[in-house]
Amino acid sequence: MKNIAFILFLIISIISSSVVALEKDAETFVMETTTKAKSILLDTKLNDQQKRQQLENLALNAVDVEGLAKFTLGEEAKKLSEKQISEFVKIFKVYFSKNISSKLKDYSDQDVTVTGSKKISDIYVLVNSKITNAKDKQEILVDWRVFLINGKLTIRDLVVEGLSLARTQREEFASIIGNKGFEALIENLKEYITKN
Amino acid sequence: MKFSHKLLILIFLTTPINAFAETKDCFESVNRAVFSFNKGLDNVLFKPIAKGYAYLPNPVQQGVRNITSNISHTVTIPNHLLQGNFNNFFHDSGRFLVNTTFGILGIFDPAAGIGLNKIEYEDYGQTFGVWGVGPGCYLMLPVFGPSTTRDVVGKVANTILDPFYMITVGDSKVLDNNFGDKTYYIEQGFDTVDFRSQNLKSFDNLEKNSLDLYASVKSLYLQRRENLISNKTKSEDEWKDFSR
Repeated sequence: MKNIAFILFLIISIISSSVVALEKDAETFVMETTTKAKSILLDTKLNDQQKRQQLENLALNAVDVEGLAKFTLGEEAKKLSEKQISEFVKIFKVYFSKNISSKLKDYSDQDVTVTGSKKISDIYVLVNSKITNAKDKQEILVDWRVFLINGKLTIRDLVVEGLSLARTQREEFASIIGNKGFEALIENLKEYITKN
Repeated sequence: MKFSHKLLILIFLTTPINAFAETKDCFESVNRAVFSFNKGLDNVLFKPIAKGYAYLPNPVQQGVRNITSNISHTVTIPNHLLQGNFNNFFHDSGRFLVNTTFGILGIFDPAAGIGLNKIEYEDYGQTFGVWGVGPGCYLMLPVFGPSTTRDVVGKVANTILDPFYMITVGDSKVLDNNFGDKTYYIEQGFDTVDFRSQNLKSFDNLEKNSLDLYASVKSLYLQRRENLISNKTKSEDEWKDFSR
């Protein structure tokens, strides 16, 4: 009887430690990613072009861009062919890296602090953080949706003060597709890439 | 009763009884035209004022923010009660009392020092949502910006049922008619400019990086209202079952 209780205890301990480990790993992953982004932004040896390039690489490495691309297509994905989806994902990757580096550029004077995390499923952790503005000490709450995919932690969405960036992107794309069609979305993405 | 009031009540009563029902963009082309007008107005009026306001010292801006936030309690407090949030009702009543007296009409925030921290703002639109009233159609109002049928009715209630409005604009016996009106509209003006000033960078960023700015603003507004009604972020489930 004692042996069974001990085995049960061991199993529960292993499971709970792996759960805590995933949450802690996700927290560390977010902290490391934001620290890297800030060090690139503040690196005086890099020119704007180099900073942009490094931020784009960091974003492509830390974010599941393919998953995000498919998420942003929403229900529309069901109406598209494999070829159309793969063309979209390819263009979205470039659009995303340019978009995110442009957004990050304006946030070099902010400090990120991880405040906790919550396990949503075996592969999904919501990491909570706050971003503090150095100038007026105003705080913004940001949640990171971190997934474990093929043994690698990756970010799929940022929720800023309760506003999901992925959902906003999906609804923006849905509006363009609804009004002008899928090809117009591809054209708009290409136009953005050329301009930026 | 004015025709416009009757129309609003009719639209409001016919909205679905589901606070999180899909918000249809029933008047998209008109909304987009109004959005363009608002954007133009923002460029020539609100944005330049907000930019100038941003140069004021931080303590001055914080003082303005504290005053307008304190006054907003006159709408928030009754709505806590209407939503059955009794803890928040007592919390914000205490906060309003302390900041109006010891905080000199709300310039300072001594309530936070005794544990009565600022909590989420509540309004009549949110209360209707908590009661199960659906959002109805998405509307872009001239000057006031994004809204829904439910929130327009809420906005009217936020004004005419607001004790601050009642003693300033509504009742000339409390304050002199002219002084009362000025007090109300100056407070509203500062509230708008302070909000715009706080969001200068994020609005610029959104404008620069959006493929369809109208759709982005609509999405952000509707998400914000959903979160305010449910008092949490609701979009977790969308990712839970997602597989690529």
